[in-house]
Amino acid sequence: MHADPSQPPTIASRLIVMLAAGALVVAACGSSSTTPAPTTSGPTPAPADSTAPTTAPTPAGPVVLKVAATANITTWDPVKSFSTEALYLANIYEPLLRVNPPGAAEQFTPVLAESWTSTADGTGWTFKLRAGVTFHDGEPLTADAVKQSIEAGATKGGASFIWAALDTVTAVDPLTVEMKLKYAAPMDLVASSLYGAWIISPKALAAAAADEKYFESGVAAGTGPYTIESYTPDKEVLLTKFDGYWGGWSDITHYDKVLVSITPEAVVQQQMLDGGEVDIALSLPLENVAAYKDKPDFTFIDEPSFFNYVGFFNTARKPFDNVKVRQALSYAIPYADIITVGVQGYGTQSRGPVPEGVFPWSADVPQYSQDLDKARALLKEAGYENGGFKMNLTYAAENQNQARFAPLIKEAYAKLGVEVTMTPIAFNQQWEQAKGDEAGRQDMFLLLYWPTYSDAGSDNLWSMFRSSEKPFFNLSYWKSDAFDKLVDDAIALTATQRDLAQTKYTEAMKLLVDQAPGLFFYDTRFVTAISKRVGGFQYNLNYPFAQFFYPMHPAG
Amino acid sequence: MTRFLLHRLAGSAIVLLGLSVITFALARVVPSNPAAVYIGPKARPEDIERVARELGLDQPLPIQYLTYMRDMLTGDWGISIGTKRPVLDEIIVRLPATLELIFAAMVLAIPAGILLGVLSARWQHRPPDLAVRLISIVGVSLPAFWLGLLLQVLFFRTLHLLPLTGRVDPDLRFTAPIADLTGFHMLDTLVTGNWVAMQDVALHLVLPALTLAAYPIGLIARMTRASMLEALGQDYVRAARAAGIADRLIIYRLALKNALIPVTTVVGLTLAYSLTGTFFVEVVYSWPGLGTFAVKGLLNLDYPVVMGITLFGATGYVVINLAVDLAQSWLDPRTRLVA
Amino acid sequence: MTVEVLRPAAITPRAGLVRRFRRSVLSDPLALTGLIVIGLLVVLAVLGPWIAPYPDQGEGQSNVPARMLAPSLEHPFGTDGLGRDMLSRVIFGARPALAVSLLVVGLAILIGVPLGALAGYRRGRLDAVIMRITDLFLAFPPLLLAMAIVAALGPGLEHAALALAISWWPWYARLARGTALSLRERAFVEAARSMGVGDLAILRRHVVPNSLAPILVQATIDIGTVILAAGSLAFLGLGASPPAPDWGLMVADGRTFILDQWWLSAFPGLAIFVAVLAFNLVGDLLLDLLDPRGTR
Repeated sequence: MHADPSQPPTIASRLIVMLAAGALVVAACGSSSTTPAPTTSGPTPAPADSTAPTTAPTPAGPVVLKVAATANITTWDPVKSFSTEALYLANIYEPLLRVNPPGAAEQFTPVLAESWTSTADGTGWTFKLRAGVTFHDGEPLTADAVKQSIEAGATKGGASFIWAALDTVTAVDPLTVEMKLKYAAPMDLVASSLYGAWIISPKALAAAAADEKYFESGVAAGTGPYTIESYTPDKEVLLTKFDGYWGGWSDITHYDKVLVSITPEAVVQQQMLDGGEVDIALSLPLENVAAYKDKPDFTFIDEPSFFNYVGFFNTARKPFDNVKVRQALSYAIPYADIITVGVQGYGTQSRGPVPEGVFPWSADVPQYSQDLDKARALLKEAGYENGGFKMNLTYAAENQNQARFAPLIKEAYAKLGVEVTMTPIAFNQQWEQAKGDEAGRQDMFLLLYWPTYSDAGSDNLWSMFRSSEKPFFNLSYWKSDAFDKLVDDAIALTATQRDLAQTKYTEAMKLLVDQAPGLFFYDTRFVTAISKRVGGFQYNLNYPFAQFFYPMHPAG
Repeated sequence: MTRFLLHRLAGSAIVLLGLSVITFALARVVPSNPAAVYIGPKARPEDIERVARELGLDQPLPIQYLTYMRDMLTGDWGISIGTKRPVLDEIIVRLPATLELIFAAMVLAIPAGILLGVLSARWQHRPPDLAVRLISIVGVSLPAFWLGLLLQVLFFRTLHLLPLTGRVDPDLRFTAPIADLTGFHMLDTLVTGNWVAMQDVALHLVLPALTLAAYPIGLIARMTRASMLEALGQDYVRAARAAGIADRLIIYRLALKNALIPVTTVVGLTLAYSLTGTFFVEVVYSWPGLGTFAVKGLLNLDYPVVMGITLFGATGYVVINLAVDLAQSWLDPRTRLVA
Repeated sequence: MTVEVLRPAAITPRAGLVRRFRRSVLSDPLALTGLIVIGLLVVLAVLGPWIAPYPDQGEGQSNVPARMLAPSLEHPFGTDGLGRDMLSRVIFGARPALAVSLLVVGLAILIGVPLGALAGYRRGRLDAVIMRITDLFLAFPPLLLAMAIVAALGPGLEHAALALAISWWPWYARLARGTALSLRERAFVEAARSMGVGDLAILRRHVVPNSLAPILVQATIDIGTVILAAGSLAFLGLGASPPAPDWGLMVADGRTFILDQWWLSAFPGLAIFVAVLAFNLVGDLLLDLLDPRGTR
């Protein structure tokens, strides 16, 4: 999971695409629901909305779920995938396990694995596979297929770093896979990752090894409930049910097809939802979304998400090397206003860099609140009584939320006599500058972040604040031996002693907030509305960008 | 005529060659390290070096330029960083949507512009002339992106008459799927007699076409007015007037026919304007054409796309200008001497 | 985007332009309106901070509790996402809009006029080379070259201005060449040459000053066109960056809210339109006076 600092994890691509996809996708695509969405068990009133004439499926034709989403496809290759295409891939491919939303009775749902065990020291993991599962291309699911998929994910994957602890993976028998690790790691969490952990047909893996673009024409080679019927870039993806799906198609009515209209504009998604052109719009304009609370034909959804906004001080540079200056600047931020302006209030102030609902988030981690007097006093103590310094703040031009709230930072700091220059640039430029020549680096870096899988300790805390020789995502360039040790210890304990790991992480986060190498703005919420024509909508915080279409069904 | 043609063709070829040099320079010389851009920010130095070698970036610039030209001529326009697909394919796939939009705008703009221009000339210095002058100046002063937003508010939000964005209702693929024959939805629905879809396509086309037509209407009206006035001042028109031929005949038969020759130039100009005008219109209306693709490429530093679009657009511009010159020399032999 | 419309094939200097303009502008209601609006724009650009109802908000100061308010007496143009008075923001936008246009046109003249004058005066191979280069720059569809340059350099107001100047100078080169060609044969230039005055001196003392009238007319007209072009670039995200009170940027920022909070985009867009219109109305008359072929 966490890699050696000299081997930076490649969390990059998803961020780039993520940021490019725009800010609204954030609220839309990442989130969870502790409460299962409204499955309509009783008699459902027929949609009263008479403006939706065309959507009722004709009895003879296929039953189609229509979705509006911003999600573009950067690759159809399930090994390389590390971006918004997860919306589709999560319905085409399956992992061994799936993490349940927080609050569920069980932490995991077995998917392609039926059961699993680990050794006491957490370095040996055995997964028993489900029998009778076939891939879309007709190949059977075997231990060997799992071995090959994981090896591909670990070597060629966009998210290969999640397998960093893996030493060997072997097929013990046709339905048993054994993993030996270099050090203890929670392979149950790793194996349920949204990226890099899909199980893929060995035939397709071989074809992709020979031809790098094998998947790009829209080849589906997973075990999931849907396959790709057609794909038009920037326009739409049509998924169709896989008749041989191991879960079967009989117990409830499922959708035969899912048509996703790739719609970057939130207002257009709203129009489509209101006009009945789609049943689900994943990115509605946040400023209008509250109106759906009162609309009888829609279910309003407001859940925590995987995403948060962080700002990094350049702690390698004066005056940000001074902890008092960083604390002062943390006290100056108008957190509530930033949430109002950035996401129309659909966010909660962060407690450190771990989003609420994700391990190892803790309510014990303190927050700063705006207090300009305290900020001025701290600056004075640090020897900058009336500010008098300048800072260059960079943010991703693609990210609307950052563009909206960044001026509030500038304004707040101006009150302390600190002059902020805002530089919106393309995310990859912003990041390249941050990793490049020290003299050319920024003073403050705004970042939208989310963990790759449900462990924000080994991801958010480690990636953003553990020191390393060369910066990767630790863009405050902060070096704290105490923090490094706490996080390293916690990571090693996660597989075997989760509670102790949590304690260490909480201590690390308290240290982090006190030392303030970064600003922790807010965790975003997933807010949208879906038509009551759809039943079975289940939200899972742990799978940002993804929605699972299989449990959904026409309501009423 | 042949000599003129050859002369103009040679001139265009030289311009195109120069264009390719500028485009090449923009993409290769301006960004400090194209290999780093190509491979993406997560690359380690050794990977960047490897990519630089693979892309031939370690070669001297003139050699690089020749390779680039060879690739362009053989249809290898590079792979888009954003979509991972060949740039030329992406351009070709999106071209029909853009051309359909431009064509619709021209169908609106040319008759409207000529009509306004004639009216204006007919009543020179009188109220209709003033009104047309105002209309044409307004047309060329309107920011297309702003006009598009206003029309959306009016026709979608307030009047509920026309769709907000897009080229076609996504639902049609289940109710009345459009056959993909030419990529021009209007044509495809017409040929297959798919009236339901045709109506939907037409409704989606109205606002973008209107937005894109505003500038051309102004320009064409203005040019028509000027050349009508010139034609009306010619000796043969005066002679016809003196001979007592009816005003209407003079205006529509004699003067307009001659006045339309310079108007062809302006039609060419407006077509050329539409090449970039459509960028703004497409962005506002989420039109799935070249414009949205180009803007996305420009904003995401997708260099192969920027190069491809720039060269494609410039080539289109040169070809349009060439066509206009040829059309004009065919219509009006006098202009050949000027060349 | 809108370059050619106001550009006649050749503008020739005419005596008494100012006098004739003064006379005819009074009898042309459109041009008179344009002139008045330009005057107002200049006043707003210079005195904006004293005229705007909420100068600190025009500058960028937020007022989050009052965000997204619809137009009212208190806020005739409404307020934006940060609660700032849109009227003040739009008024503050006049200065950068005019400043950038002046900068772009100025740069284009600085590059184009000397090159054009040199080409027209020297003729021969130098002329051919310079003119082929201008042809090359003019072979790009309007704004496309500027967009590509900004994309390569990175977004920003300075880059947008530079890119626009780079795609604008060839027009001035052509214009200057045209006048230089005609001046070349005129008696006073011939006389200077026969007296052994050097080429550079002739260019500086005779050719360039005598090309100024049509160039200044063209520059006046271009101010409006450049406002539109810069606004267009900013709308796409290839121009000014926040929190600058840039009209094009404001239209782009308000775009996601267009259906419900229409005032966020409508008023800054209106400002661009009115400014461009005003310059075009005046330009229309100026061109009539310079090139009466079309009207008289």
